[in-house]
Amino acid sequence: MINLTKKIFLTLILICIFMGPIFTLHNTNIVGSNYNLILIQDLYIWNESSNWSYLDDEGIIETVIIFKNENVNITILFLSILWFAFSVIWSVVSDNLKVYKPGTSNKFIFLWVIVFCIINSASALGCWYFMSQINEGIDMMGKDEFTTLFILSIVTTSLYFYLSSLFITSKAMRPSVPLANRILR
Amino acid sequence: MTTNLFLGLGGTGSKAVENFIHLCAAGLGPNKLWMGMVDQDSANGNVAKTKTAIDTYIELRKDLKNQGKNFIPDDIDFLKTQISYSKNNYCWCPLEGTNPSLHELFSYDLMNEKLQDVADVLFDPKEEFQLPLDEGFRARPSIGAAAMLSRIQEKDKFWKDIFNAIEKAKSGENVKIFLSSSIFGGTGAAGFPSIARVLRRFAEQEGLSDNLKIGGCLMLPYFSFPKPSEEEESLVGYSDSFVEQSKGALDYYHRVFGVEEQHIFSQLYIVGWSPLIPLGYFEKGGNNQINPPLIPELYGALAAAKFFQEDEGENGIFHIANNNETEVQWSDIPEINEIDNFVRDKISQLVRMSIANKEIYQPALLQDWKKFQHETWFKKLFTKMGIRPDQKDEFSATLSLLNDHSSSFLKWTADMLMFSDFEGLRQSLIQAELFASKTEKEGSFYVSLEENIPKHKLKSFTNLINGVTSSSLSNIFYDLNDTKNNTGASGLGAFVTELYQASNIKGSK
Repeated sequence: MINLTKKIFLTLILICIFMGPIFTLHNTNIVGSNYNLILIQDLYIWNESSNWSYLDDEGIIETVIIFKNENVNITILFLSILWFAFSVIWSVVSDNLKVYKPGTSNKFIFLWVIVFCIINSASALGCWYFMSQINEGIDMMGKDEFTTLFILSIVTTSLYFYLSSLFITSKAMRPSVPLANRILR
Repeated sequence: MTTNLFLGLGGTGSKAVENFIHLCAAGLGPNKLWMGMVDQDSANGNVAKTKTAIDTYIELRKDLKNQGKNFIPDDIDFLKTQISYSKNNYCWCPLEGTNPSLHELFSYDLMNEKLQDVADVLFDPKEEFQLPLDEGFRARPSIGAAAMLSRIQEKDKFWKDIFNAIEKAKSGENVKIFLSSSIFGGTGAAGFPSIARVLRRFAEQEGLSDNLKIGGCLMLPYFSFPKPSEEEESLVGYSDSFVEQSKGALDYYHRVFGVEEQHIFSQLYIVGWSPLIPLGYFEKGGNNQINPPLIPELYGALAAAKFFQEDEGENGIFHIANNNETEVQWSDIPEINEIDNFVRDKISQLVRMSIANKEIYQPALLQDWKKFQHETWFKKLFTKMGIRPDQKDEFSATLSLLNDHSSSFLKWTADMLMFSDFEGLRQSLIQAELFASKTEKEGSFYVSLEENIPKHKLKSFTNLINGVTSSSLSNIFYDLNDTKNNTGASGLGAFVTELYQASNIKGSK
């Protein structure tokens, strides 16, 4: 139980490390006036004549803010929950395989790869749904924006899940995480 | 400092030595111990088996208590006792090098007529006088006592070790000697009172009696075997006669050690069992006589453990009896100190470790170590201890000894539990059927260890010890991976130490 609590705590810290900057970048004017909105507009909103002055229009600003609140932030929340859930699932599943022999845990790499593929597919699917299929997201994203979104979601999810598995997988099960035993000496 | 000596007399005594070696491996023995056996039938299979057990123990301990190489710290109870014995003379044979009959031993032909008449009254001239004594005194203590007392010499290497140990009391050391034998055999029954008297008198002559404590365990009849054939019947003891013989012997012991010479024994344990445990086969002696250990003998071995453990032995008469005469449970096993379930925990820990070692780790360690060199347990317990994956051959001898020891301990446990288990007695101590099986062939029973324990049986590892749900093999593997490895062990000792600790009945400490 203590072990699982520790792992949950570690997972939450890792999610904060990843999602903290992403959330801040999308919600705070760190650099200057409406920088976060420009970023959102630039990354996710399709517009043929995309330029900085575009955001001078109060109406457009309003739309981007709604998109940020109802699509971007919901997607960030969804990804956080998804990552947390899959980390816990991996931790519980890998510990319940009851490996008791040396040289056998590396046989479960396939299981890690399956979970890795599922979490990536789920996050890509979730991003597509929450960014483009509900509220203001409908009709706001183009093909290029989708590509950027998928790449971003797959890169961050992959990085997160790999790091998370490195730290929360029991030492006995570490060989089931690719290259883990070589990285953590 | 205390000098401890354990002497097994006769066939039962040599089994007692073997039993005590296994208890020492489990951490129930003293820190240091000298062991020896007395048996006229030194070719007896039990003696040879005990010798193998002593040698395996000593060699393994030497390999794993080697400071700077493979080292298990002293606070780890596995192989705690440093055992020694008289080299090349581990078993004293009173009539060694000859195959005399009583006729020759007494030089009957040189006796005058009157003495011959007395001898004829005491011993049957046709049978007992002609009895070859190379295979023991065949349940005739009167013959053995006479032969033995005439042969104990201070110059003999075996006895020299014992008398030298008693002389250590001159420097203020305490000396504890424990004798174990049966009351119903030949050599043991003859040697038990005779040797105890010789030792006590030697100490008295040297003025060392206060520092010498003699403990003893006498086994009353506790097993039976089929009646021997008519031609063998006259030469050997058989179990029906054991009870009659024991009655007389007990009366003698009560008179001598209970009244007249009370001071000889500091502690005297008498162990009996009813109903008798049927052995199912009979061997009159020689190298085929390898009797399995039985549960009553565990009581005898624990008596010795208690005797050696106590600084100041309690005086008095102690009783222990089973709660239920048809079943033996852990609550029926006597404790040797104040710690609750100490005996159960120590024996169980070594049984669990032996199974884990024999079934899981030895097969893995026989493979190429490069296969798992990147696994955490290997990195922590081997690589960090300076053992490289390419050094497998250097450690194979020690690993093989460890494997032999695990097998030998499991076989001893299985033999004891399975041979003691019959219609009249059930044991609820350890589920031995998880790692061993008992088969019947031509009317005789055999117990053998499972070569590879099937997976479904390994799953029951947590319930191996009756009355306790302990950690699984998976928990042990996880513990080895999570170890902090700060016990002070080195070399291969680190792996053995951690495996032993992880096999604790309550899980890793």
